[in-house]
Amino acid sequence: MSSEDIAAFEEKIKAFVGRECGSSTAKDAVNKAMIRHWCEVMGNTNPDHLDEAEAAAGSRGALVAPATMLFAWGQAGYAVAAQGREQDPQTQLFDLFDEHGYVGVVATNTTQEYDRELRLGEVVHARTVIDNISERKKTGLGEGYFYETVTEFTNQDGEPLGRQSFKVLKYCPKNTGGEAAQ
Amino acid sequence: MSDQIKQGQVKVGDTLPPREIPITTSLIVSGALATRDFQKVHHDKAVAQASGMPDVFMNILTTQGLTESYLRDWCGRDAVFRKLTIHLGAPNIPGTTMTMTGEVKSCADGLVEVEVLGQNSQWGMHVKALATIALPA
Repeated sequence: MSSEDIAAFEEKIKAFVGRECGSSTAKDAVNKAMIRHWCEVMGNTNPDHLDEAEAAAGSRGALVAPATMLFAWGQAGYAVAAQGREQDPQTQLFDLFDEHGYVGVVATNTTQEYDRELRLGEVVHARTVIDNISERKKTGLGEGYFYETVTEFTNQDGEPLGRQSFKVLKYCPKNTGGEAAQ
Repeated sequence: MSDQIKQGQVKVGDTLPPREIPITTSLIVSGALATRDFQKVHHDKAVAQASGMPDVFMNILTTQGLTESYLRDWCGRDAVFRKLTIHLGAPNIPGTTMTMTGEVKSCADGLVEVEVLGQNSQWGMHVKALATIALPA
């Protein structure tokens, strides 16, 4: 791309900053079954996640979800495999990168902060925005841009539960010379 | 799970017992589904290969979950997670092993910061994490 083309492209991608994308309200309230299924795979044996009676007698006084399940509650489920992701500003941004040859993608960093532990019956609402897009960077994978989404999690009463930032590198793989891959 | 660790019982430089986790297709697919992540690259080898990877690879939410469980076994039942920062590196691919290690980086005001590294036997550093955990008094 010429420097004019790059400037025009950057103007287009920067227009996505601040836009909301992929917000969700969990279809299932925080529940024992999904927690247990998660714990089985992760090897988590904390009775405060698995046994209501033991949890009631413990320091928390009630069963709680594992912290890192925070994002899992709002996932779209099998539809992602069957039909693909629903279109939203993030998928549009993704497509725009792809069309200009930045077809590579790798997640680089994510941070979750937990205001408190989630209890059974809570319904997790997640609101995600595209928070920032970097300048063009040279990386080991090729030239590209880092973009970061920020998600705020609340419950059915609007109480804050936590937040997550998620940084992704969209890059032009070094051997393609900037041509869009088909 | 270890006995409950309390404030004042840990110090900077303390290390966690290492843990070797065999990376299998079963773990990758089961982890993806337990975290409700139906992206095909985590369960369909052909799709993963079309994206340039040798096989299906572990999703981030499973990496977070394994990190939490590894830390939970060290810090005990009552500790509360406040924050988890993950820096992602090499992929976890079937047929490899990830060795998790951990080291206490700070302790103050009832909070402990622990760095966790997940080293993949074939591909290098899979994850470098920093967890902030509140310990009981």
